[in-house]
Amino acid sequence: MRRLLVILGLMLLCISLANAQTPKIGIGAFGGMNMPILQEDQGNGTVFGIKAKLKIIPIILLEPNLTFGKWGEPDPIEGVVLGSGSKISSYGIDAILGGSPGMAGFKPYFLVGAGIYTVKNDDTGYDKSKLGYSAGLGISIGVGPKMDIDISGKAIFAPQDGGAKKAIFITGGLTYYLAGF
Amino acid sequence: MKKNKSVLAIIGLILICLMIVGCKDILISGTFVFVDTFEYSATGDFYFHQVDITDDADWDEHKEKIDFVDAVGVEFFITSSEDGDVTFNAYVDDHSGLPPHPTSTPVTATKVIDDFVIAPGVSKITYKQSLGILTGIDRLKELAKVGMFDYFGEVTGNTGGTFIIDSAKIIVTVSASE
Repeated sequence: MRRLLVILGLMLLCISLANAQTPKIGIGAFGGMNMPILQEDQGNGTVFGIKAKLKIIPIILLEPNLTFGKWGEPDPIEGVVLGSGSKISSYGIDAILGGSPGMAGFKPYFLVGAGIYTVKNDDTGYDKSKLGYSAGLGISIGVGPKMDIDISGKAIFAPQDGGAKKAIFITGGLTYYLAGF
Repeated sequence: MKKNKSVLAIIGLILICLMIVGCKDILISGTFVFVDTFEYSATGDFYFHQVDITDDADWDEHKEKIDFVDAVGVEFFITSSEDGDVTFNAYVDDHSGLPPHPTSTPVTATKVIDDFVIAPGVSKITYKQSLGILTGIDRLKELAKVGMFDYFGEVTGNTGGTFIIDSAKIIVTVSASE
């Protein structure tokens, strides 16, 4: 945990030092599939959220985001129906390398991020919030100077009391750039 | 500009690699569900069973790194031919090992089902229902983390008809690492 915080601190410091421009802003929304990884008690579900994009230097964007997800009901295990899946929500920030806004065409990018992930199950009473992180790849498709279509795959790691709840979010979304890109 | 891009790409990749190396336990952990199934007929008023999920291959693989018990639930299919309602209680305690087995519920046991009333006929307590009626859940999770524990069933109100637990299941969900 301490190592992760140091890494993120250094990352933000590097970005701050490199920042010689006024940040420029876009806003967007996304939604898609939420696939649990190595979680026998969860099935595939959905995820959606909102985000902002802040341009810091030409090829790095910061993306604060708010995400709401729900896993689905898993297949019965030895005949036992476990019922509905857990909810997973988060707020955090991703650093995006590539995917330059304000340009037409296909713009691949990769991302790393951190956030506070809350995993909650109303049936079992499970409810934990901890700092987690994410990494992934995506592609922005510029459909005009102010609009991108985003498609991404993002692996999320939400640490718990030992181990972590993991999932892959496959999402599509739109980002609208307010000004400056 | 091209040099800047390369440097930033390298920094990003290094950060990802550091995260992966530093969080190995997180990456290889998972959530597993174990089920122990048994059945019994209570012509008397007491039943004993040793729950054992340690013979499961996944348990064997992860037994040294059970980090957390996410949930414990039960599922019962019951047939009661009694004339009236039967009251059902269940208790758990530390694994007692080899025989002789207890013939009554020890005073150290923790009650996990408290005076659950079962009407004549066929009844079912689902896993989801059980999450709402189980008591002593902290003790139950503590025992479940070991993988073996004693279960005691007590039935009152049966007057000589047949009260059968056609299928009893203990369901344990754990988070485990390598």
